[in-house]
Amino acid sequence: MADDAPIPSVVAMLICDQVINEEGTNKKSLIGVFENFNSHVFPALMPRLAVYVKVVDAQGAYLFKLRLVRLKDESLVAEFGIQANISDSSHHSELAINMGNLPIAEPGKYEFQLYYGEIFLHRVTIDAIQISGGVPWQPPPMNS
Amino acid sequence: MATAAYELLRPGTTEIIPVMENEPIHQSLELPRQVASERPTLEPVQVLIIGTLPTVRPEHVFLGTLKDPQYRLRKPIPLDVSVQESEVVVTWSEIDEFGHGGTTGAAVDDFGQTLRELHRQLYAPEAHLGADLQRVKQVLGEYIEPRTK
Repeated sequence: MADDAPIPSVVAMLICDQVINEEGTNKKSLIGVFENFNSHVFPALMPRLAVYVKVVDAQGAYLFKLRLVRLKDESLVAEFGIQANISDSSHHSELAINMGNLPIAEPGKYEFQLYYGEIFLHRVTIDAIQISGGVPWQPPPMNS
Repeated sequence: MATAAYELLRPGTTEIIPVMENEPIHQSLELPRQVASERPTLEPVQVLIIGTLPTVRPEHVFLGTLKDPQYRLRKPIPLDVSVQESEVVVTWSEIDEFGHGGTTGAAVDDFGQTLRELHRQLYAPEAHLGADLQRVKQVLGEYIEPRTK
């Protein structure tokens, strides 16, 4: 992390299905904002998921970390590094992280945590809920 | 294999299209036509899922934000993380303040709220402070500044 870069403040962090950027105007559409997700079976794969982050007070080179943590025991499920060069602190800066096939081991609370280096910036909690019915998960066949 | 892609987005701009006098009102309420940019190509990323997941509850964490539009931090606040009676406790030893909660994130949020209240009390015009609280106020001033924009 750059020593002289100011600590950004997160003014919005939302979980949704997808972040779409409009080509002509750069306006963003957050499609399908959610807080919970249901699945008949666990482990489950989230086929698509996006995190939208809006920060202020950022200027310089930043290495952000986005972590997905299972809250039951605060164990790490996934971690993404995000490099961003932000030139003008007088404007808000926006990040979109689109993801696919995120594995969710079991029902319960999970949290996306945003760090700048080792500095904790923000968190958003989501709830994985098991609903009745469905076919039990089967491991994929091993390739011989 | 989990996949991901990220991008730093450009500021969005909206256009105000003048409404003609004889144009039906419902047309002016329609969303503007939008052209989505290409969906980013998702790259494979490392995801830990098999076996025991590593615990990421740290022994120390740096607080980077107070979640209050009136204040920003000049520098991160170092917090010690411990577990006491199944609650996570974060402590700022420099002024002996703490926050607690079910998880590290909840404890950090609780600490942030405590700190915001403490800052307001110590910086209130009517506050009469002894030597100890004067020192705490000075330490808070080194870390926290009012947001000017």
